[in-house]
Amino acid sequence: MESKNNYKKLAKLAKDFTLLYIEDNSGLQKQASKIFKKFFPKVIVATNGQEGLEFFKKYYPDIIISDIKMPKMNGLDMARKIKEIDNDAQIIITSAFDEKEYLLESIDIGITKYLKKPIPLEELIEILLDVISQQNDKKNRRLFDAYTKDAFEYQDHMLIFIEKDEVLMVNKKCLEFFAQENSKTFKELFKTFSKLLLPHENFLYEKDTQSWLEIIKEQDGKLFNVKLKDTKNKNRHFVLKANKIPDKDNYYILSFDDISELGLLEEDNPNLTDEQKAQEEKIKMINLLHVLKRNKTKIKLYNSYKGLSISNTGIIEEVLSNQIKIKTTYLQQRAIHIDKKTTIESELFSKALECSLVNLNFETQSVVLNNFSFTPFLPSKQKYVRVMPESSSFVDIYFDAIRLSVKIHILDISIEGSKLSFNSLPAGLKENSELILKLRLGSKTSPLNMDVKAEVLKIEEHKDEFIVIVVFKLESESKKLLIDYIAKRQMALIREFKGLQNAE
Amino acid sequence: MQNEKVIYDDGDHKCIVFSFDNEEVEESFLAVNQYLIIQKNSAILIDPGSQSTYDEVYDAVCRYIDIDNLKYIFYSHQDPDVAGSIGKWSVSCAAQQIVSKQWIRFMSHYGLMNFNRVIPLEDKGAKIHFGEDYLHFIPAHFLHSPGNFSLYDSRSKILFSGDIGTSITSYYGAKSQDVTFGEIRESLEGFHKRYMAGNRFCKVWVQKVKEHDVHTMAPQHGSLLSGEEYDNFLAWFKDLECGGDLMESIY
Repeated sequence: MESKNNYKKLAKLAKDFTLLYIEDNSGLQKQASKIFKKFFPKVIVATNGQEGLEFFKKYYPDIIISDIKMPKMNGLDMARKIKEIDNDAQIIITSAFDEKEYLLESIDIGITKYLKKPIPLEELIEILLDVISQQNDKKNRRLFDAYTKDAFEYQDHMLIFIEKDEVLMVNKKCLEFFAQENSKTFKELFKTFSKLLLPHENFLYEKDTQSWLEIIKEQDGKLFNVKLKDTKNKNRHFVLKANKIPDKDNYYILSFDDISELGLLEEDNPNLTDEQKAQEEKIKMINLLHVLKRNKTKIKLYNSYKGLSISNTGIIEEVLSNQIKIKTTYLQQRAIHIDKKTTIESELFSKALECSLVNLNFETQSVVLNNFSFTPFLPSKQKYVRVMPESSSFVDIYFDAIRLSVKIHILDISIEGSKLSFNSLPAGLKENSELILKLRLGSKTSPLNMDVKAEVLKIEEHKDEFIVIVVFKLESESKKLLIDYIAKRQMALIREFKGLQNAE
Repeated sequence: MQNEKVIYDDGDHKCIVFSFDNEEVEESFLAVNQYLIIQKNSAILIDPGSQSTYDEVYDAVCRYIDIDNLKYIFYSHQDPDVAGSIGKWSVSCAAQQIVSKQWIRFMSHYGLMNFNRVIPLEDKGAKIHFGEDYLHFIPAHFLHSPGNFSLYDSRSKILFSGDIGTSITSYYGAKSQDVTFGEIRESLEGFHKRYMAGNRFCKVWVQKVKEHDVHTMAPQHGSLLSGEEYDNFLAWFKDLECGGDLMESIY
């Protein structure tokens, strides 16, 4: 049963194979050829080594089966010459003699199999099956290599394969963009590639401190904006990423994704109406989100809990025209759930993206967001930890030695300053005004009382309130007390956020 | 007790050791070393310590630099005598905090949940620019913490080795004294045999640090070892049976 299966299998597998059979014994030759023809569509027969070699050169067979002792040229001499032509040639030697010399010579030549006559048919079939499947694997491997090389060559992105800072391969798209004839000329160009990266705010280009290549290699997988000039001297905007080859030190593929069409380098068109501008901005935003999704790039999500910043990474899973689905951590989901919104930052955005919560699923860790709008305020730029003081905290403010009688509420406080809400703006209060703040922070039972000098940094007018941001001028002892208070408050807010324990 | 000492200074680049904290160990004590590296207007603080020494370390740092110039704080691992003060440091300055990614989520127990300024270290380590030079974060996992790094400063050629090299003696980093490996060998043995996870980890670490030109090893506890004394330590540590190798004696 097994042998019948093998016959069928061989007939199927050998259908594209050509066999060269060399045997000087005409009886055996006829008998064996008859069997081979049942499996191989093309069987070429030769009667000696010399003829065998000629037929090999003429037909390039996939498998060669040969006797050893033959007139004119023996089987092993022929095999050696064939191997000189094609080292991959699959040669099976058959011999009536059990001579060690021949066997050793066969090993030396690199013969695929050495079989002793008479060879039972079942055994021969099994050996042929083995040889053919190995050949098929090799063919597939070659096909795969050619395909991946093709994929590299014809990728839509510009690709550069490097070892340390030397170019190993470069694809067609890249050669075309830089108007290079071949990879040799590109290798030369790459030595001064830093000069091609044009300066642009928040973009990657060569600065004095560190080479551009070092920067991207140190942060492999991260996206960088770069600006390059094309052959028509037009600025093009690319997203550059270095991918490290796993388990290989110093090998990277640099990919350049051309996103010029998003128009992010262009100045805003002054002739557009506000509505048109908003529409254009929304399209840019969606396109950028697509770029992030395509590159599987991590984004940063920011929320705050009573002034305390909560930030984790996320991945964009789906981008639709009016909403996106992201995956993030449980803690961030919890913060988004409380805030009903989140702010997204990415190295690709010069602004942050504010979005509203549509729904979230704690089990799948997914969050659906909509109502995108850009905000110039980048949460990552927040230098100091801020906290919202306890509700029992309050502040009295003295301006020109007079206590302000307006209602003031502390929104948050850091060691640098505070964000205050005024129900109305006292006369004369403006930016750079000098104030004295009498702060009472903490619980009613053991409050921290401090007198602090401060200066008004900014005043924002809102619908029902004025937001006044003040910067402290702290003495070192006051600074220590404030650090201590904020650190303790931070700890209390963490506990509160995690389990809403000790909540006020 | 002398609390601080400049251990390297070439005019532009300076390394200082502070020894502000003691931990009582049986009849001896274990001094805790904190380190500060300064290059021009940037500084990195290494293993700043527990909450209880925060004020002294903060004041000491301010004696050398403006706190706004503290660019990084590096925590070699998660122990309270290393990272206990992370919450306070997060409030008091704008420095980026460098810590193993294995420990980040645990930092909220020390009062830090704002990870905006946290640089998570991948297991394989990292290399960052520091002024004109480099800081190398060398994996030292399971020696003793599962997420642990040593820091090599390429300019001073000092290896800040964290708990590796801890000796329970009256010597400490800020004490002016040349100590030989032979003198502290016995006081190294007990700690390393019990705290380090096993010889496989010791061997890999020795191999890793040998890739760098180290002049001095500066551990988190006890005295510094330089030159030949450092080489003697490496030879001893490479073959040390510890942790899992000695399981029978622990259980």
